[in-house]
Amino acid sequence: MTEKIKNEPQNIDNDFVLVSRDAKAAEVIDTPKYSYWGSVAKTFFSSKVTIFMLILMVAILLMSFIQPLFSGYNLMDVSGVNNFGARYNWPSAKYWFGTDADGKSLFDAIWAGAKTSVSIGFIASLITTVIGVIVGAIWGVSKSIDRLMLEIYNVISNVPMLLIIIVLSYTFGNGFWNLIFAMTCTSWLGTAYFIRVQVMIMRDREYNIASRTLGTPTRRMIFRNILPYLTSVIVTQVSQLLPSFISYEVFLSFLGVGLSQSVPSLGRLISQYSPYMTSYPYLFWLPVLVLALITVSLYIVGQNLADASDPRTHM
Amino acid sequence: MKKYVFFRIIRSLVSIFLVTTLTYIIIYSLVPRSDVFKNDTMVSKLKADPDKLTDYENTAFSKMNYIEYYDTKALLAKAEKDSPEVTAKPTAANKQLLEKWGNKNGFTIHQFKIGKGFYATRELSLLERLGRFYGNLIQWDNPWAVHDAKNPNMPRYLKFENDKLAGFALVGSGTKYRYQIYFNSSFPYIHQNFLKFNLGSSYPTFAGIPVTTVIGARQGKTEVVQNVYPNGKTFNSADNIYSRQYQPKAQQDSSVRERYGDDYTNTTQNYQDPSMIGTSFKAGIWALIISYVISIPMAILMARYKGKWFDKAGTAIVTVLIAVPSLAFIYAFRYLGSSLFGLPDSFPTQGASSFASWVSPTVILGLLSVSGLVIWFRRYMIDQQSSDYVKFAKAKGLNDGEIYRKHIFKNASIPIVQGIPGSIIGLIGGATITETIFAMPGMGKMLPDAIISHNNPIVIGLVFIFTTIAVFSVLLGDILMTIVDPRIKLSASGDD
Repeated sequence: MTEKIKNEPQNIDNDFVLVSRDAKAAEVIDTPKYSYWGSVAKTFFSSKVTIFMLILMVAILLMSFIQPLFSGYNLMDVSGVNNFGARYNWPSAKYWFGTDADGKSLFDAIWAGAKTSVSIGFIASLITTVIGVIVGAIWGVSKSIDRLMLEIYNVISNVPMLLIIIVLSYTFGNGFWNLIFAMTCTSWLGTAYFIRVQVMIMRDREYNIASRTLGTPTRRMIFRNILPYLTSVIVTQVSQLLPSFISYEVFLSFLGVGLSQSVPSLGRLISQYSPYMTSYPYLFWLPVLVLALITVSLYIVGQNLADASDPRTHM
Repeated sequence: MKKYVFFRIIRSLVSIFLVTTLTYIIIYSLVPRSDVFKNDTMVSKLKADPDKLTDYENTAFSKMNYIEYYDTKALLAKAEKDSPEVTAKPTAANKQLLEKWGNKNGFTIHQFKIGKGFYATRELSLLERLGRFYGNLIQWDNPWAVHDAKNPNMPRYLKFENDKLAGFALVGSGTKYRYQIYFNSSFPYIHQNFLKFNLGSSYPTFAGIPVTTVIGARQGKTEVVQNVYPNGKTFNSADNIYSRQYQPKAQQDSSVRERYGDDYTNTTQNYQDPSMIGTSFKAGIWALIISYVISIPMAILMARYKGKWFDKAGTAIVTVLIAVPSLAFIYAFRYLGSSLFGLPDSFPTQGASSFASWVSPTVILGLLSVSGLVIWFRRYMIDQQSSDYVKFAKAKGLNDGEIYRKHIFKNASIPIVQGIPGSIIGLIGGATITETIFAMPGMGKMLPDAIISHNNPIVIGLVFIFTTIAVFSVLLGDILMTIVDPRIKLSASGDD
């Protein structure tokens, strides 16, 4: 390099142009401003698999919330039961997913069912996460609450979750909100315990000790100093909770515990059509497939969102 | 350490007590009482005869410990002690006498709608019901257990002797069961009869049978065995000789008495198939083994070739397995099992005696927990890879294989060993689904069945059993961990 410059000294004067000072550009700070969520979005959208799963997820969610508005599907409608031409049609251009024993379109049934299942998953995860994070944060910073909550946690966490949900949904009877209550009644305790451990780890970091020394009140410590750093952990939790709640709903409906008889759900479809596995396999496998697509896309999008929201991946 | 384990056991017992009590209170106070008869066919049969229906319902409630119930005969027998002139006739005078007795003892006197006969009921408070439940929970057999007025000179003893029928056994007389401790060739080889749990009696399914019998007794067809009896003769019989119980003379069958030569003639039968609890355990243990045999080598390979194709493919599979609901997972693998290997779709098709009927449910139960195990074990191994002792081992000149086998595996297996008993909880949860789908006669299937048929005593019994298993498996896991890694001290851990 240096040799090259030495060899061609005569060109230098012609190559350079004098640039006057731009007052406006001088005002701009040269490092771009760091935006947390902007950075999350950048990392998140950098993976093709994630984008594909996101599109799939959005498509399924839109279908399950918009399609039932137009289809007018009613589980209790048996008007087509005597119309032999309408019964057990294999998937075709007219009936995309075929028809069942009552001559009802499976396509409508699946989206109506998916709407219930997804709603339950979302509402239950939301409740569990909100209560779990708030309680967990307080639990993590307060020593006196810690002692009491640990005992409660020790008792409840020893019992299989499925057992609690089954027993509660049995005692409170069938119904959409009863089922959500049964699911969230104790599940927040697991999230709260998880958050408590994370809060305890963050609580004793140097910056928080310094902050406390400077007189920051506890509430501000929790919401300003600790919780923002737990975003990725919380997103991971949510992405695991969502599919698991959907699975619980499916299983309970399969058993006939949980939702009332008139509410369509994927679990009900699967249990209703499981005898047709060999005779009319589309009736059974299509709901299973849609269910699997919902949970897999939710889980993968959630996991990748959690990875992206971890500040350590932003470097 | 001993002190710590002692207090842990106490705390575990408290946990079990609290959970069972809570479940008991929740179920008995929130499930409407009338739900019991929702699916009962007897109720519709008895609709034509309201008196019998009332009697039936009250008997059921009293069996389930909701109320105390005396029908006309029992009521008169009780009331006659106070006022001998009372009769069964539905007169005002009799009613007054009975009501006086009822007020004194807290009973309400009712009359049957048609026959006008009297009967009495008393609501049991939740506390009283709980008291009865726990009061009767544990039953110890002892030489003073049987009191028979017609047999006052019964010898009372406990002796360890070589019994003619049962071989070496702790034999009791005056006890409820003849053989208190006995040995035979069936697992777990040592058996006992002196400690029995009483969880109430099942209703409306398996009506009247004790909950422990429903869950713990063998099922299926009776099995005939050949035994040489104390009178020297050899018989083929389905009687389970180890279950001999005291029977008053009036109820004894003379030929059976002749056969055994004493008053312990009441036996249960031998059955072919394992009990509900046995079925669940058998499938559960094998599933546990299968899941570890698959997941540990898989996790080791994934950690060792981190970032390579095997790791990537493994992670993708595991992610999908975690996300797919277990119901879909089970159906898919059941379909594969039956179409590729010709395994039966449902357990009762070939029954418990056929090996093939166990394969699908057990393998699927094992596969269900593989994904969780692989994820965690891979994580532990990878965390260990970057630690200083691994770098040091590398510097010493050990090759990768040795480092993985001798260093990383041992350290990473500590949390896995701790999790082994805990996996049993997961297997119970999974077993509810697999057993239901395969119609396997185990505890996991019994829970939803009991719930759907509103069989509260069985639900409580199962919650009690599941909680006990879960609580003690967590404790066992902690103890195992200290055995594998002596550096870990449970007692010093304090409150995290």
